[in-house]
Order: sequence, then structure tokens, then C-alpha cells
Amino acid sequence: MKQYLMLTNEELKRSWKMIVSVILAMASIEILTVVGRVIYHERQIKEYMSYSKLTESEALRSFGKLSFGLASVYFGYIVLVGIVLVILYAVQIWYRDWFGESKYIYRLLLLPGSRAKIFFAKFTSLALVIISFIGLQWVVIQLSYAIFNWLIKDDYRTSSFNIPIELNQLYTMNLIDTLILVVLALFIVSFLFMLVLLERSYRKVKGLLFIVLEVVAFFIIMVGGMYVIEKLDFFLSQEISAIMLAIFVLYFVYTIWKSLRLLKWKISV
Amino acid sequence: MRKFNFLLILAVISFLTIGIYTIFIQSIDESDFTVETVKGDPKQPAVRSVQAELYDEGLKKVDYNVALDGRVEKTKDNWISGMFEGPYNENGAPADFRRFIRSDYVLTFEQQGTTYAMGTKDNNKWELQYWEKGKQRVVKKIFPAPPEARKLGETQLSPDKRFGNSLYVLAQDIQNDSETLLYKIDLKNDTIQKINLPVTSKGEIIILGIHNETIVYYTTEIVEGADDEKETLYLSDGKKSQRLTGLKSFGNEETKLSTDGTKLIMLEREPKKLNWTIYDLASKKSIKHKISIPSVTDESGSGEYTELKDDLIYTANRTGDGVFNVLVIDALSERVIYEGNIKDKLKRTETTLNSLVYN
Repeated sequence: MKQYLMLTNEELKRSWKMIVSVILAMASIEILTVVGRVIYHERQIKEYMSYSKLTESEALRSFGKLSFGLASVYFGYIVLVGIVLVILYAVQIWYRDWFGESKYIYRLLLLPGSRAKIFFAKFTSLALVIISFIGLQWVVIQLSYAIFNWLIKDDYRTSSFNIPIELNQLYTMNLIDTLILVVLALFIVSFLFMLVLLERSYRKVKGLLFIVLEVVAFFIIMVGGMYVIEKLDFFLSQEISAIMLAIFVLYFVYTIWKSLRLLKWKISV
Repeated sequence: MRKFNFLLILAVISFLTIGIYTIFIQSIDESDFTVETVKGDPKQPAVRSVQAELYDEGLKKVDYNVALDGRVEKTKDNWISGMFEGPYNENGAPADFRRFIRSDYVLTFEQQGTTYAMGTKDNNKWELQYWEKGKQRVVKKIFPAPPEARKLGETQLSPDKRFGNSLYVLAQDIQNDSETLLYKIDLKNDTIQKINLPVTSKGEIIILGIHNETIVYYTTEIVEGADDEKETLYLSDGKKSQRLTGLKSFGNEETKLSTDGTKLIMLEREPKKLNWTIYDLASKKSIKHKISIPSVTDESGSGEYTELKDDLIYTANRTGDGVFNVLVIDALSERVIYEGNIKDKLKRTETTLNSLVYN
């Protein structure tokens, strides 16, 4: 257990600068977009007032007030960039051990005890990054809202707190949904881990072939399963949901099992 | 501890930030509904069975079912529970019945807590199943298709009305324009009897009401060159049909036969009032009624729901922030039998009225 915790700590230590830089950069960009949107809105109203010779209240009535939802409309794109970076990190966390200057993977593989702890240390690192990403993004939203309220004149903004529809999908105000989101993200991580380990186990053409086979098998299971269920026209919608959920859980377990097997039997020093 | 400092920092950040999110969720106001009775007894059967379905469209999605005696049911869905939700008429029904009603060829109809499902696969036999929620049982019946119905192409069977032991069913060929046939199924003796509608149509036939041998229906026909379909209203006793003239908009709004089968009630809704006409089928005379309804139309929308059911008009209208007025009016006597206000103590503007549901 201690070795697993130390390995997880080591994984995070090696990525720390990158994680902190990305989080700071994303938070700064988000806050700047809100500030920019407020300045732009106020300038637009002033220009409209001078152009149309209207009072402030008349201009606001025809121009409309700025909501936080509108001011934070670019957050969705930044979150999307964050998701892409997490996906890249899930691949990079393995390859850096092979392609780094010190060939760190050899030290890892020669550690006494089960190799499973290598897998779970990387997996835990990703889980922590994903959870903190979701949590920190919420803190940035709240911080941006406070800055928005402080920056903009009261008459220029709507009073209620709302977030763009894209962020509403991420923050449904239900903790079970957040948990499901984390599980889905971890499923994608474990799937990527399996593909990377397949490539590292068989290398080059054979490795790529196994990756293609695994991806094709995944699509056949999902799409084929849906097609068979549709053709049978027998199951109720709740039964279909249960089947899909069972397939998801089984496949999730399979990706972890397969990765552990590859790490134990196929990857050699 | 130093050995794990990076792990600890990220774990603490995760815990704290998700904690902040959790506290925010907990701090979101949820509506707190009370029902204030203005008139009538909320425990009388026609009122007790009614519930207002209200949706909180704010940050936290919550569905409320508020009964007029003050009971409030609150539902918060998540993605997993949403995957396992079934349609309203399936609630509690056995899997076999639910499997039957989801077939492409089966149509359903609900009356007084019973869901009737009917269809035909090959035109040779008719399958009927009905789920009696109160008795928690499914009744299954198979009938040989009547000779006239076998001649139809792809036949759609629409259960339309239950009266005593009789279930009235419309049969129509959905691929070709053909006459709509009406049948009465005796659920006690398991027989099917064709009801002759003396005037039929190549277009659609819509039954407005059935009571014993009295059938009020209208036919629709496409008139070449005209934008609207021609609708003609008939009263039939199963032997002869009589055209009912001078009545307008029976096809547009809620039109139903009174429970005693002697009058036709035609209801029309306007923004601030309800108009309805009672047409006496024997004397052919009409009496017009109207009643003002409290409602507001502001930036939060009007929010209204009106339905005519068993000679009673049920109407719910938003009258202010988080306030919904519910009226139950006896259409025949124009008497308000119940009036109440559902009030949200927090006056949330995000709460909207969806419909009234009857259990």
C-alpha cells in the first residue's frame, strides 16, 4: 500500500508543473473572458446611447442586460480543451516512462511486488486530476461570478445566477450525476491505458493491429448489441438500460483486467 | 508525510472543491408548497384525485406533484434513474403487459385507472389486454377479427371508450383511405358487435362520446381547393344518423358528451376566461356559459392547463410568482365546486405548471 501511495505521489510530482500550469492558464483565460465580456457590453451600451441619443435606462431596455450565463459562454470551449488535455495526459503518463531521458519504466518494472500498483498509481493520478478539474472549474465559475458582480454596474446585469447550457450538462446540481461523470471519465482513461499497453506489448505493426482489433471489438459490442436489441424488439426500455449498463460495467472491468495482464505477462524490461 | 505531499495536495483540492460544489447544491432554494382552499372541499372524490404537476426549471431540476389536500411529492432525477423511468401508463404494470403495449401495432387508451391496449398483427385475430391498476391485474383476450375488418389492409385498432361492460373500438386501414369501422366488444361475454355508423367518411371519424346506443361523432374530409378539412357532426343511435348543425369549433377545442349522454359540452379557452356551450341533444337547444379565470401573462409566461373530464372543467393557471390557482367547475350547472391556490412560500419564478394529473 505504501509503495502504491509513493508511486502515485511520484506520478503527480512528475506532472505537477504541467498540471498547475494548465489549471492556472485555464482559470486565467476564463476570468479574462468574463472581464472582457463585461467591458464589451458596457462599451456597446454607451455607444448605443450616444448614437441613438437615448438615456441609460432606455438603452438598457432595448439592448438588454448581461447575464452571467452570457458572460461565461466561452467556458464550454475551455472545458473542452481541458478534456482533450486530460485525454492526452492519459496517454503521456505511460509514454513518458519509455521515451523520457532516464527510461524510467525499467526502474518501475524492476520494482519488487506486483506490477498492478504501477497501473493503479497512474490510474489514481488521473482520477485525482479529473476530480480536481471538475471541482476547480466550479470554483472558477463562482470566482468569475463574484468578479462579474463586482465589475459590472447593477443596472447592467440580470440578478439571478445562471450558467451556459454546456456547463449545465457538467454541473447538473446532482452529486450522483457528478459521480457518474467521474466513472465515465475513468472508463475512457482505462480504455486508453489498455490501448497504450497493447501497443507497448506488441510494438509497431502488430501493436497497431491489436489496437485496431480492440477498438473494432468495442464498437461491435456496443453497436452490434444495440442492433440486436433493436431487431429482437423484445426488451422494455428499462431492460435495455440495464443491459447497456451491465455491458458498460463488464467492459470497464475487462479493460482493467486486460491492462493488468499485459503489464504482468507481455511487457518486459 | 512529505513522501506523499503531491498526492495529499491534490486529494485535499479535490475534496475541498467538490465540497464547495456540494454546499452550493445544498444552498439552492427548493419550492415549499402549501395549498390554500378558497372554496369547496378538497377531499371530495373529484378533487382529491387531482394533482398539479409542477417543474422547477431553475439550476436544480425538481419535479413536484402537489395534491389539492396539501400532499407534496418531490422527485429529483439523476442520469441513472432517468434511464430506468417508464411511461406514466406503465407504472406498476407487469413486464408482459408493458412488452405488449410497446409493440408497433398496439394502441392504448386510459380510462379510470385502467389502461386498454389493443392491436392486430395479421388481421385474423384481435388482441386485447387491459391493466386494472386498482385490482393489480391484467386481463388478456383474443377475438377472431370480424369479417368486414379482415378485408382491411394494415389495420389499426383504437380502443376509444369503455361504457359498462362494453369497450368501443375503432378499426381503420392506415395505408388506404377506407371507412372507419366501429365495434362494441362485450367484455363479459367476449363478443364483438359492429356498430353501424349510418354516415361514414373516407377520411377520419372522431368519436366525441358514446352512451348506450347514443354516439356523437364527426367526420373529416379533405375538400379540394380548401385549406381546412370539412368537419361534419352527427348524432347516431346505431340505426340512423342525424346531422347536428349550427355548432362551431367542436373539432378544435375540448368537446365531450355529458356522462348521462344527453348533452354535448363544447369548451373553449381564452386568455382570461373559459367559454362553453351545452347542447341538448333532445331539444337541440344550446346554452352558453362563461367564467372569468385569474391568470397573469408576464415575462415568466402564462402557465395554464384546462381539461374537460366527466362533466367537470379542471383549470389551473399561474396567477403570480409561485402561485397557481386551481378551479374545478361543474360544466352543467356552472357551479365552482372547488377553488384553491397552490402557493410556493419562496415565490420562485423558475417553477412552472406542466399539467393536472388524475389518479
